[in-house]
Amino acid sequence: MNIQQKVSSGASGVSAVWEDKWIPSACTICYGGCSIRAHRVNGTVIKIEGNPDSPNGAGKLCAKGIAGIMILYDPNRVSTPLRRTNPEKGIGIDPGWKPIGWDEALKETIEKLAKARQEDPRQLVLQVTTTLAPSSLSIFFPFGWAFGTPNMWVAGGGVHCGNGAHAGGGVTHASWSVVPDFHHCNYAIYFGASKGHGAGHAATSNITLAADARDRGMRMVVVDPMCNFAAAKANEWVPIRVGTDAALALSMCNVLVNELNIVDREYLRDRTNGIYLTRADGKYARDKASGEPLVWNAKTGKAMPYNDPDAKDAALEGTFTIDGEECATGFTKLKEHLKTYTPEHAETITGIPAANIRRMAKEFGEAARVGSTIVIDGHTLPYRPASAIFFRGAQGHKNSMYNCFAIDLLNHIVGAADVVGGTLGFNPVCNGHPDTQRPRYKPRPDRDGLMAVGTWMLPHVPYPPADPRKPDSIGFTELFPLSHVSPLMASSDQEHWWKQFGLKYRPKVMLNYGANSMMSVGNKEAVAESLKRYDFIASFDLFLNEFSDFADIIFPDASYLEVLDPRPNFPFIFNHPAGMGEWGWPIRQPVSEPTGERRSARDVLLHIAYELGIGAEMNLAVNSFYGLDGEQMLDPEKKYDIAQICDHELRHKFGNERGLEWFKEHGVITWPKTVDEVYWRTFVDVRIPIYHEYLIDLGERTAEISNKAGMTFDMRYYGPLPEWLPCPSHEVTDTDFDLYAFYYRDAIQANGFTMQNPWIDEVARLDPYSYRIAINAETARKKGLRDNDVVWIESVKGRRVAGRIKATEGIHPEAIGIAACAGHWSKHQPIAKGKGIFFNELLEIDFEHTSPVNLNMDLCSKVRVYRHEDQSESCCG
Amino acid sequence: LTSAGTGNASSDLAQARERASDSVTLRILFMGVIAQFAGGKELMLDFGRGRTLRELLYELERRYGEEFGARIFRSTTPPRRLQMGMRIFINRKLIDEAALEQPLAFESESSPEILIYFLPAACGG
Repeated sequence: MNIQQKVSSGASGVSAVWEDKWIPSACTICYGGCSIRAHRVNGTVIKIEGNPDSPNGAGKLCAKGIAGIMILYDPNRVSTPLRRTNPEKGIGIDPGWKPIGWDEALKETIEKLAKARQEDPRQLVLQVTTTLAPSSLSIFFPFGWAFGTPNMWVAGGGVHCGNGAHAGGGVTHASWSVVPDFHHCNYAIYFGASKGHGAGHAATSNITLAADARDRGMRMVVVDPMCNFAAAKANEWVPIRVGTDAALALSMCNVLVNELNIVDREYLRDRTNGIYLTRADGKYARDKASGEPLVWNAKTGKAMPYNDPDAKDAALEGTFTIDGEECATGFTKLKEHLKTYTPEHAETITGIPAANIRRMAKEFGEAARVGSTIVIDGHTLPYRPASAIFFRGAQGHKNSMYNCFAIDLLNHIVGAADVVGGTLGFNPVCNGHPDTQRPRYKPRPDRDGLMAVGTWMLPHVPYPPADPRKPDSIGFTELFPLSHVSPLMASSDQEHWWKQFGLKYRPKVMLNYGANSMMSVGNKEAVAESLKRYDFIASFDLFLNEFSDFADIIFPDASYLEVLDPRPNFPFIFNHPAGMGEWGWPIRQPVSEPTGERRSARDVLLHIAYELGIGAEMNLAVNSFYGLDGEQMLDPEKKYDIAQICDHELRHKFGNERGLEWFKEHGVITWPKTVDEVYWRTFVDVRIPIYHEYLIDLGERTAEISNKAGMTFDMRYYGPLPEWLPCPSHEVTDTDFDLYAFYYRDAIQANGFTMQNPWIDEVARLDPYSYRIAINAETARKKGLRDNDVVWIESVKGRRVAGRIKATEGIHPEAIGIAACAGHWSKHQPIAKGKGIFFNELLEIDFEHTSPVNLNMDLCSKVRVYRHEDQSESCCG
Repeated sequence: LTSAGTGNASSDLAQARERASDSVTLRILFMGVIAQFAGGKELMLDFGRGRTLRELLYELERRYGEEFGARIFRSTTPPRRLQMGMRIFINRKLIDEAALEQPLAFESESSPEILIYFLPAACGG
């Protein structure tokens, strides 16, 4: 830490500067968690910038991070505990907040929690946000486990985030997300993902990496309904009909496999289940003795288990007779399946000309240089400098799982997965710090030789999926084990399904941490009804907001600049930069002490746990969350504070000499990555599925349980090969509703809580799109609309939002693009109030609009657009 | 018997008997939501010496039924891996899947019992 004590004496002899410090910490305006250093002078933070000592941002910081200082000192923040005085709850109903003391607020909350725990601990719902870092949840999740509730909901952004993208990344890259290997990639095709363009995991690290790659000559193609942040910097923007990404990707795969024969056969044979033999019912042909999947040895003309030493000569293609039954390899079935996705057929779905689809597939396939190698640090490795990535956009639809699998299939066909130049998972392998070998994890082969992740963000991993079972939780994730976050937590049909499944309790108490589910999920009416079910809601908040209107107690939270956190960038599969370079483990530490009566939510929750008499459970749960063992385990019989837990975590990972005090001074520890960690696919003996056989059984078992409760769904979602399946918006037949509305993450607002930030607001007001509705210029002209007109956007369900339009050539003619999440109406956030459009109002929250395989919420809406009756200057900003 | 003893003759004798018997004493604590399916928070159980954790889990499933078993195991058919999120601590140490097949053991020679915690780390929303 750079500490200077400057003392200058003026004429009066009084010191003008008694403190001048740069304090290393971590940003948490979004979940990227970039490393920062804050300049504090005389007790006041005067500047925040990136920390050049850390690979997490490498000294760069985005506008949101720089503007974080305005959150710290915002006079609109909650400063004391509050109690509601108006028992009536609803949208726009004033709670009648009354300041109370901490003792009173805690006493009331603990009494409510104790009663719920006595009656049935599942009555408690923990609602948390992802707009903070996942490490911020490090006490909340253990609290839920200790309390005994399965009902923990990542409502802030998480429900829109990545049920498909994360599961897809987990199944095939052992990681939460994917990114091009920017150091070596020559051709990157983005399907709606904006990695390296302001949003997402490892945000500012990727900005630099992507810019350097573009400067080096990496060709970038962006498939997106709108030409915004990534597409604007790309070589080519490919406008696509909203929600049809899978059709394009599968068609490109078809061109590669069936027209161009650009296929990495060695990779498919050795690293995938493409060689596994499959029966007519779609399931594997298995060895009678071991139960292991069979492959066909072309040399001996015999079937054998996939892990037999002679299976290295297994046939990738062909149909063979096993016990009188014709069995084709997985790749053979895939190849045949892809034939249905001709470029001409895909053109009718996506709106992209067939010739362009063929051209892009050819460019991608040739760029992959199948068969080539490269030497890095003495290791000869496959060199596949082509990458196809996916995230929000492609994943934000009812069919998100297949959308992601289909796009990722491009990588696997050419062998460009976790090898040099290809698509990388975010750090699926870590050998640990050289002194301690911690943290240490890598994928391993699991059932049938397919890859299980080495580490994961949540207790339930994507593969192998658990057996589906009748749900305990109100979100039904046990019934849909490939899901992460469920919209049923706030859906309009939740009570119906709870009854149908015989759920023996109802949610009664909620603890909320920073999430504003009134705005972050879907239409506000459905969420409001779900919130009214609770007898008691306590909420940790920086600001009062739309959700707070339903709370009973408000705890004034400390901001990210006022708290301790031992692991802002861990797990590394989440938001540590991928590719070669350095590992970095920073901490978050207070750069300013909490003012007013604000307290860190995690300190408060720990206190509540001990007061509730669940301290032993809590300490064990914390041990589990942090992976603490040996002398750094928390003793179930003792009480700890957050600083002590941080110390345990840091000593556990980096040795006794590097506890909390060491990290407070140094801010970050770094060590070099190795080739076997970054390009691990060559070094770890695992296979990934290109034929998702496990989905067949999973679908059958899920249907067996759900059908008894009257919940039925389209079994095509559980097929072994990815399909393009239409969203509800694609099936609207009323021709009045002729446009697809979608939202995008505005780079200066993405993943954060910045609408109330005056610096960001100033930038947003200069941007012609941030607070307006993007519509194709020709489409607008046909509808008689002009730039800056006020319009209504109305869904087929009659939900509507108003805003001013921005006519542009940079959006698909059938699309309406809205920057989210805007349109606040709370009077407690005066900067945010009335700015932009509340897109989520257009979204239905029910099972019909939810994926029956991973509970992904459908995030597009078929709408009609018409002039607002009020065109005055005062309407809609 | 190599225990140094406690200095308390009756206690030492009890421990010696324990060591010499064919069974060990398990103190099992069901934490969080799993307690509902076990019908309580704590169980003292005499269990065959040298038997494995998997055998104990089967015994508990037999006692408490399918609902309990569904929260312990990922599937009802082999290989019956641990349910995702099910955390088991033996003598306060978090164990992994490999421990399923290992005999339950005392923390030290002087330990009067084997302490086992079950904690489901579920996220269902």
